[in-house]
Amino acid sequence: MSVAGIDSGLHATKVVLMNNGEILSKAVLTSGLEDAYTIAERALKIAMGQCALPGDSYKYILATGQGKSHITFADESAPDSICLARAVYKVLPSVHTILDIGAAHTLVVKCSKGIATGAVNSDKCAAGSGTYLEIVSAILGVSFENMGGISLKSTEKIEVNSQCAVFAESEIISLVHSKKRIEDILGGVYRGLALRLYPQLLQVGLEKDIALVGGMAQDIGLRSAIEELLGHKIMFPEDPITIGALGAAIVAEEKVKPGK
Amino acid sequence: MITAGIDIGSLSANVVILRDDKITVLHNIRTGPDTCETSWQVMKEALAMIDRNFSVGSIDYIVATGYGRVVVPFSNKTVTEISCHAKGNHFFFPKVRTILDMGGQDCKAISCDEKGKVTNFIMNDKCAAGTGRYLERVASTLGISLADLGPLSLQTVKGPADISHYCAVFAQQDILLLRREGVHLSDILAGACEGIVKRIYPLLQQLGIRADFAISGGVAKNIGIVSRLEKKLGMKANIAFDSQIVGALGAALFARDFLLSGN
Repeated sequence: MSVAGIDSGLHATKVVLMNNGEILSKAVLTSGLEDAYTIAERALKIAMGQCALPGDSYKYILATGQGKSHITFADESAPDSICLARAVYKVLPSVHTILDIGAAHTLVVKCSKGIATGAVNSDKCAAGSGTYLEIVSAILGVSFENMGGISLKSTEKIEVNSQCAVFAESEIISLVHSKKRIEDILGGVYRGLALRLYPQLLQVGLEKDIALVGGMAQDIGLRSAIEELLGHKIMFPEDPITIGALGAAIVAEEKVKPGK
Repeated sequence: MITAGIDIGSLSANVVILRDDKITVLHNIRTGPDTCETSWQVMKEALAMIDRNFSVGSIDYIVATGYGRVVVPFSNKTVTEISCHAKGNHFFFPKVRTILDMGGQDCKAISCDEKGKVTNFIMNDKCAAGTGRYLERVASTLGISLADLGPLSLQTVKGPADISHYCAVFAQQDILLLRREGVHLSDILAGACEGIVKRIYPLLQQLGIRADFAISGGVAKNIGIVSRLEKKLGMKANIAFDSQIVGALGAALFARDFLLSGN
């Protein structure tokens, strides 16, 4: 009895296939220019190919993420907060606060034993999201993957204060003009980003442990800036980008379990 | 008596030189990366329009305004752009009581009294949505000039397209998607203009709108925004013949006042 969880994000679509609590395979596809339905269908096929299961052997498909309503071949959809709470409870059971940072949103979920008890989502403004870091990477000519590592080499504290991604762009250009080092500018970029996330974390009520998930969780610069701000370590799942899809698969299994 | 006002905005730098109460020179350039250098450049070019032998020393009093006012090395005094826009608009339209100053990087709703003195204001300078920067991004995303944006937005085919995101960055992605879906250029532009008006209106509403109403700043040159805002307010907007120099004119008028009062 297999199920599939699909997490349709702005930047990437993630699929996790499960069978009786065990992960069969995963797939992550960059969303690019295709619509949410097409890309999700393709990601699902790739994941199925990896575990060599016939296409009709799926009992239940559950979608989550901002594009969930477009994935009409799914049996059902579920809010991101519910899926994240389930998945994080499976991989990091001590976690009570989840910070999910993606390309277009930041979501803070408070949870207890896999149940989401509160959530605050912010998707109106690019300043706290991965899109902002993409912009920064383009201005500074540094690859997206290397930015975090470079920021750790910062020696001078610079503040990048703008609350808007567009204005931060000009602020960063002025910093470049005034001959500031790229590592120091990036240090300021990450610190500023962490500061913008902080009120959202407080709104939900910070309860340890805290986990960082989503596409941006792999960014070492962001991780350390958040840890510096909070004054303690935060946790990371092994594969933070597929956590939403994993949660969707777990919720799907609950739906098909007999007696439920 | 020669006085000058210099307005260093985020995107444009303006100079107005007054001989007594008469506007003698108006000059406008784009703000460069070095604000101090920009202020010298715009002022020198303006002076050269009067007389080759004119220098900064030939002016009796200079007031600087705009976000870059503190770096202007040759000013006698600085005044906020809010006061300057009120004064400048009042010079052109003595009956004005509510002013919208839409600049490259911020948007301000200003109330003033019968003398052109500021009584209250509300501003957005935290977010690019609702400022000239948003429009510049829209224009560059679609590969059109900023000057064409307004007129084109009035030629909508199927009505304004829905640009659902508030944020200027996300709106850019919306626009690319709409373009890919084959939505007409004018409809996208109409949607962008509607979006800006939606963001500006609450500022005016919060302040309270009293007639007469005036718009200044670079965005006042955009007919697509102005006509939609007029429709929404049910009120005609007074716009100076060059909306971008209103702040610098206000500064020059302040310079005249300071000089006359020996301040």
